[in-house]
Amino acid sequence: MEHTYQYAWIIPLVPLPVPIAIGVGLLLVPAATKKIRRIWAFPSVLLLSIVMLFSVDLSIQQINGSPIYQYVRSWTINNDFSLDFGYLIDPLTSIMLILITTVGTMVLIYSDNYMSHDRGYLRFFAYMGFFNASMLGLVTSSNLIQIYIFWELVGMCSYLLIGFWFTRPLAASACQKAFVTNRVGDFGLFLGILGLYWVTGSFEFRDLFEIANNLIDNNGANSLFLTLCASLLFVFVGAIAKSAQFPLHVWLPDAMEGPTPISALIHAATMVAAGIFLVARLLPLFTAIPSIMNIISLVGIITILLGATLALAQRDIKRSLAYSTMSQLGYIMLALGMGSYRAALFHLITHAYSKALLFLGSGSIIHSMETLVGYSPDKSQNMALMGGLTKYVPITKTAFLLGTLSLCGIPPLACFWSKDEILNDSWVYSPIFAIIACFTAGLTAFYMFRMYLLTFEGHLNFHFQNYCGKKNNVFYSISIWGKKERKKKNCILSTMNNNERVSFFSKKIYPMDAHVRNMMRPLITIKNFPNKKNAPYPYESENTMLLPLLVLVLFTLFVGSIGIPFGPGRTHFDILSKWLTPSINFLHLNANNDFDWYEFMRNAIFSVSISFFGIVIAFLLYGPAYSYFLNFNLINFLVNVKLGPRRIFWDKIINGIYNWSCNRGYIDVFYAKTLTKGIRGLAKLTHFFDRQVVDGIPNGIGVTSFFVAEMIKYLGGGRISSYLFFYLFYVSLFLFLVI
Amino acid sequence: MLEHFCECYFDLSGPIPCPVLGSITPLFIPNSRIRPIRLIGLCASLITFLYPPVPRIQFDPSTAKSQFVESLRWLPYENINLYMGIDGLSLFFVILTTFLIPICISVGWSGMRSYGKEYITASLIREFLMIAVFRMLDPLLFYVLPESVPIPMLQRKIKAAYQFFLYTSLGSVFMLLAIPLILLQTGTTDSQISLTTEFSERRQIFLWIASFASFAVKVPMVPVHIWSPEAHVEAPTAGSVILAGIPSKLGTHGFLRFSIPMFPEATLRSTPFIYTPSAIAIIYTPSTTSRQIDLKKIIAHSPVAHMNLVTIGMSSRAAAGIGGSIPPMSSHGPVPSALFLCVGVLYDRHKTRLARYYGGSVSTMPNLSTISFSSTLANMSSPGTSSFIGEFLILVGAFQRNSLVATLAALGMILGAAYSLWLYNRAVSGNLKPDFLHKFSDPNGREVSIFIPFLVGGATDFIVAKCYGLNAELLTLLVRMGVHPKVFPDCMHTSVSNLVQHGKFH
Repeated sequence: MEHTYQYAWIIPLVPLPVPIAIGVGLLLVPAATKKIRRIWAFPSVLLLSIVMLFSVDLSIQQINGSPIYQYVRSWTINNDFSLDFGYLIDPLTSIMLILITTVGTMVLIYSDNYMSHDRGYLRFFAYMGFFNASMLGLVTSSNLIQIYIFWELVGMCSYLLIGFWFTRPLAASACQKAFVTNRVGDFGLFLGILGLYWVTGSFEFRDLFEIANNLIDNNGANSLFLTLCASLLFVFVGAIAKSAQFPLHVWLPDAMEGPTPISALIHAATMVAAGIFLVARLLPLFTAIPSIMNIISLVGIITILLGATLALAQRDIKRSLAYSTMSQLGYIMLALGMGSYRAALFHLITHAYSKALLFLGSGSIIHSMETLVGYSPDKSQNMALMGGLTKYVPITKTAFLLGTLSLCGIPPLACFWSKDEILNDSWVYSPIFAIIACFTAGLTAFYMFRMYLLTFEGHLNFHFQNYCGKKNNVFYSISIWGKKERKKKNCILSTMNNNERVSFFSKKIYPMDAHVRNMMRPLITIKNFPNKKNAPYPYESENTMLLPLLVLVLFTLFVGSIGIPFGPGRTHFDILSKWLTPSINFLHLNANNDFDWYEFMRNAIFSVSISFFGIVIAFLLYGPAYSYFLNFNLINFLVNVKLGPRRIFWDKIINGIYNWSCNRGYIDVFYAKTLTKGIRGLAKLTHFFDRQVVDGIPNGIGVTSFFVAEMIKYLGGGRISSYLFFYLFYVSLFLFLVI
Repeated sequence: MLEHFCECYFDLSGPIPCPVLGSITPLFIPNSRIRPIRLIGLCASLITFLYPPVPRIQFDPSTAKSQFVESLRWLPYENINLYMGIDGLSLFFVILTTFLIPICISVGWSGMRSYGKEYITASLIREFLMIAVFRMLDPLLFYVLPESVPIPMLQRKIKAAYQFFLYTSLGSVFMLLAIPLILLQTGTTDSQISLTTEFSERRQIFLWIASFASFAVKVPMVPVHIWSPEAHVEAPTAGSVILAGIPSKLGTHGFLRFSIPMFPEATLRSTPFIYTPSAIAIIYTPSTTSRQIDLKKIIAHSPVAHMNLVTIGMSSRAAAGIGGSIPPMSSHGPVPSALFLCVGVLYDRHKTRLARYYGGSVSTMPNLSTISFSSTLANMSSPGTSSFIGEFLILVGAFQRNSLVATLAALGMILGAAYSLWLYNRAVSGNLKPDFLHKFSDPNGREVSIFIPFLVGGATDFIVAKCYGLNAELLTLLVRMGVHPKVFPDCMHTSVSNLVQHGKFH
């Protein structure tokens, strides 16, 4: 089956015809192209499925132990400088290929329905096709230049897709933020590549590893070694930006302004994994330098904790998921930093499927909420307005619940296996990190269940929003979205209050829920619904949207099994290890072949119990019975106010956490204050310099020449006496000097 | 007969008389008949444009010598001759020039009612001069001709013109001093001979400074850069296109042709004096843009930053750097020009260039938005656009010599992306501002067809070009430039290696 390898170069090119055809069609025959618009989804899905089959074939061969394949074509620019282009198929590539194509196909099927009412349907599919092509190109790259090129291209696609609804100022600024933040990372990656080239004289991975390892073996404490370290750090900066790790994570939550399928594909499963991919790809270099590995794991652990805490009190369902993604990517980064390659990739796979499932589920929820609140992300993604969706969207609910459970790490589901592995490894690596990671596992369970409970349990809170002092008029169409947007900051606190008050109300009318809608309808101002028959309640999405959800549910249920060691005790039989054998051998990692069930059970029980603890707390705070507790708490609170400062102190802590989370950890504000202001200050300075100094020179010359000319005019005014005077003056001066 | 014709055609003297004839003919047509004047102008420029592909085909990439050399005795008693030739370095500048002039003429197509004759004549004379400059192998003429290039620039405002002339003449004075010195030493101003002459080190330094002063103004380097944005803002769209496309390349071309090969020791010593202002300019100009309110002025800063990157590449003394510095010189002809044209289209519609009046143009002008997005991408040199490969090579070359400068230069990536996107987002995304702007219309056929060659060169991800007759030619040229940059190094390869060796850099 060498043929599959030989023709692997075609992989990135396969999805490309669709965007090109759409682009040409839109330009030459716009009417006809738009008329058959739904048909365009078909070739997109078809082509990506072809790639999927292709990559399944490649992966099977990789699992069966076929060698790493690399094909390179050299392009000489100068005698001493040449660029190589080619492709590389190894376990890492094949894993990424499978991920991209499966999630991509599902998302394409899903978005056919999701975007069907959007005016930019064709544009969407063109961008998607282009993104798929460049992402596939990224993972099959055989050298750093190719990686850089596709790295930028996926960034550009991400920019286009985040800003898909560009008429909204929020989306416009979000995509700008994403691109510029990513550009900071690109800058790092670029410098890193330059540095690596300088040290090793090659862009290609194999040569890079060899030369760098020689360098490290010779143990030069010299400048080359330092440069190597520095450039690896810079490369890591690129990975930080792409994978939304701690200092450069700010773009990811804002990126949720894009359509939901995009969030599932790009900002949960594939593009954000590019940073992980890069670090995994260069892991042989990183492992040689322990201090950089420590930095990687440190960044990972900070991101884990930060993402989880920021996800605690988000009210936007997608933003919440975005912070969760960030936190989970932190886990993967931590695993890479610890050197546990297998665990990292395992979690990458399981998380990608679970998170794609969750995002698609949230898209389904948003879609169903839109019948109620109109096309306004501020409303339709607001968890404070959801609640009790179980009875309206049962299938979505099941899927979402499974995704949630998986992410919490509940045993039979995918993420349990991988997360458990990371937690195990972290105990070996550093107890402090392990404690933080376990604590965050609890937090993960808490915020995921908070999300689930707010969305699906309880009662539909939307009908009560009019009581909460919120603005009435929520129905506005796409074209004027931008105008009605308010600043997010102002409503952060009010949301929290809304949430409580809404539940407070819900208690009262609990018994007569069926009548609520009828009761409330006159109170709600319904303006823009096309027909009154369209009853304003959430409905389940159509089959084309549910099908991908179900497929992803299957993945979420069973993908964990690739990492479970089947068979009796000591044999090393799980698929993932077999898959990764060449890479692990290459990394000289000693995979511990003996698998200890006892230890595994001990750790598993520990982590699962932490997750359950988080879930229980979430139930206590946000569960359907919450209203009673709240009442109870309120009374308690009123009583306790007099009683003691402890109560107030506790409240302060909770408020502090809420504020921290709602204000995104004050990091965005900090960046706005320092960086943006700094650049503005610089701009002011340069402008001043331009105006006063640079412009001043020609002006000064002009003014000087003017005065000089005036003087000369006066001197050369034709008065004989002055001529005579100067003549005599100079003659005497000359004589004086000479004699 | 046919043979004779072929000889004439394949000779490179063709492009010289063609624009001259084109510029003289309209003088005999009365000013009221605008149509024939325009047609003659366009035809002359298009015929000129057909010439350069010929030497490209015939070009022998294996030698670094000048090809198609012609000489004309000019001042025989001083041994000053008119040498013209072409080598790998200058070939693409000639192509670029002939490429931009027809576009300029069609940009002003409907605008040139009252001064059509002057417009056509000025454009064609300028074309003639620039082709002559790029083919010139003689420093004296290289001094004389650029001095005359700025003259027909159609400037309207006093201040910009004043700054421009002040700076350029200030720089050129030094150059004028340098030329007699060369003449004294070598007895001729032929660069082929001067290249083989060894100058003493002191003299080299003096000559280098003198030529640097002249070229730095044209690049423009930082303390003397201010004329460039000013002139761009005040010039009409066609003027900006030309200004961005060509005069700034005169400076870098001069560096490559004279400063580096003739004065290698001086170049080696003075590298910091190129690095420092260039790095400053790369950081400095993008940050100035965020204080600007004029769309055109924001764009006008971008060539400054890009050309300074080119100077870094040239003084990097690495083959990758010097070789890489040529594609950006060619690609930054089309890229800022395309952006200027976008602004020009907006200005034609709304008669304002202030950024605050614009917003949400994507709803009313989808085509223009696509075009300007592509150009924006090219302006921040994303991969897949024509600027990427050159800037990449420059930075590879520069990093090997001086990593700090390369880092600073790469920092321009972030700033460049920031201001380009900021501009794009302000003008294109968001909501329409109907309070300010009322009438909207997407670019018409003529405007779109002007954009096409730029677009294809600028960004290859949006190849949405309709090929209009001749444009197919440009299209292939620029596609090869962006997607398949091999066409460059192929013919430059030898010239660049020669340059590197000649400078004794290794």
